[in-house]
Amino acid sequence: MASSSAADVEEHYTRGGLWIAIIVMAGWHVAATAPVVIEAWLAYGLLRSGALIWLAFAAAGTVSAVTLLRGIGPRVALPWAICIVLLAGELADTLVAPGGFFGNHDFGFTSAGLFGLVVLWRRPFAEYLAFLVADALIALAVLILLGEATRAHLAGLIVVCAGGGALPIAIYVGVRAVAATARRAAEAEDAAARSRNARLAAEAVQAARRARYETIRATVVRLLDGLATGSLDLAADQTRQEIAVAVTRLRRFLVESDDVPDPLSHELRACADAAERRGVAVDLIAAAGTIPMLPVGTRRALTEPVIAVLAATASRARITVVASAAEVAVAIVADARLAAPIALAGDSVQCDVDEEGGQLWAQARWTV
Amino acid sequence: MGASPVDGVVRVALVEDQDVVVEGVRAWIAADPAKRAVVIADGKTIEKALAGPGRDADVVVLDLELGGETGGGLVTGRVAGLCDAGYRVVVFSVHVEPLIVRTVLQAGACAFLDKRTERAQFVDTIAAVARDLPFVTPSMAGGLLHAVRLSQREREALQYLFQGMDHASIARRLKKTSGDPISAATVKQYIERSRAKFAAAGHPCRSQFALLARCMELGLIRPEEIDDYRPGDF
Repeated sequence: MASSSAADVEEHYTRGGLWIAIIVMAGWHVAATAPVVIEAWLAYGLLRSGALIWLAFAAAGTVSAVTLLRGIGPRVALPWAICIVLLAGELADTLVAPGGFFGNHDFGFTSAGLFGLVVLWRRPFAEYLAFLVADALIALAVLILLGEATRAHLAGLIVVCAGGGALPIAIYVGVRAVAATARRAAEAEDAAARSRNARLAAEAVQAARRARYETIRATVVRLLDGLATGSLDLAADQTRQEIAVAVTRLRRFLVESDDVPDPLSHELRACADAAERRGVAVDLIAAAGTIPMLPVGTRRALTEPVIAVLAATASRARITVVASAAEVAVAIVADARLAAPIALAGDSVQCDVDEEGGQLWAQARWTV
Repeated sequence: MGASPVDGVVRVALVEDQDVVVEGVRAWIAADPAKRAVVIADGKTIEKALAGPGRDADVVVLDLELGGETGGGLVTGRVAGLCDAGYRVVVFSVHVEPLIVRTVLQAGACAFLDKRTERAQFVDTIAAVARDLPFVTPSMAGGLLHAVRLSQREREALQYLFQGMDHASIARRLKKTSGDPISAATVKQYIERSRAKFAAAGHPCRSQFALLARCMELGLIRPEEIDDYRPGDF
């Protein structure tokens, strides 16, 4: 799938091509066709001059250009309705023009090709080709109906088709090719940027993990050293608690992933790390549900009870987060005894505390 | 492999690549005073554990991280195959993220045990699963919370279980409208009903059908309710 920036680049080039098509169309209509129409008007009168058809083409071209440049209007109905007007105009012009299809005053065929380019600019190339074929078939039908389909005239028609179709087709195909090349270049640039960002992020995560590992390693090495030399008393509660904490931290290090950083989880992990450094074994469970973006004040209020309970925890704690778009509940269950009630940092969060059999449960709950 | 609820000693096959854990699990099961289970086979891969006597196991205990077999990845993708083969699967892992828990339960696993904290429930879980009972561990509660359409009470009970409360503590917090606490048996019913709803919405396999049938016997879910919890209905 093209990234939005690559699609923007392609659109930029396609729109530039549309301006080229509009300028060619308007330039042709004013500089090349208008003098012919005026000359015919003066010589043969209004009806045979094709001036009304010229005006109809001008109106159709203007409507198409404005709607396309503003990006509004029906996607299929309007372009093809205008195409029918153009083809009807071509037919009428060929019939009324002094000198017929090959006379000096028939502008309809070539004009229809250039106007159709603008009208069908946002449509597939096949549709534009179909329009050009219809344009040519109308000219052929007129030659046959008027009995002018001589070998020389058919050869002339082929030359006119080739000459009249070459410029708009070249514009259509050329602009699309340039736009596609620009899009591919932008996509390659996007991919390179994403890869660069992913690498930098991975390096940052790796550095943070390395730092955490160094902290854990120091504790583990000391404990292993103590076990090896026999200086640690395995029967002592404190030793067993230290080992339990070291094991918990090592396990969390092995399973944690920081690929999708979430500020609340980060803050809770920081709280858990701090508690572990003073000997509490903490189980920090990954959030059930997706944590919405929360303001700093709300996050602080949600982590406040956790910090307070961890500070009073003797040995073990379990921290959980249950989240949805409308609610986040951070809870801790620990063997803790609070010396003072928990002070809340804000009024957007409700705090509940309950104690039973030496286990303290505290929950901070934010709701929309 | 168990087609009907196990009445006698539960035969366990253990898929675990760490010898120390294998020894630990054997010791816990041997230490059970009621001698409710016995390990009949173990292996570092699923194929090795189920190649010999393990193929007759009532319950397969599966570690999700089998270093040798997966090259470091998790074997969550193998759970559905084991369940389709008719095994009751209990996942035993440190990878307790609710998303992973939900994934393996959806694939048909009967239970999930957190290696870090749920050792005490190990034999209870094995025994309950072998009897096709709707057993929910705290780590499972996190995976079930957002997976099925739950009543307010069911959601609260699961949330408190996930947070680490036992049934009695949950009962104290879930008060009736009169202000009196509800009973621990009612809490158990809320939690088991959540499990039944999840089984109705999960991967169809023999163990899930057996679990649903048992839930109907227990009056936790009615047959006509089952289609309400099929995927896409909530």
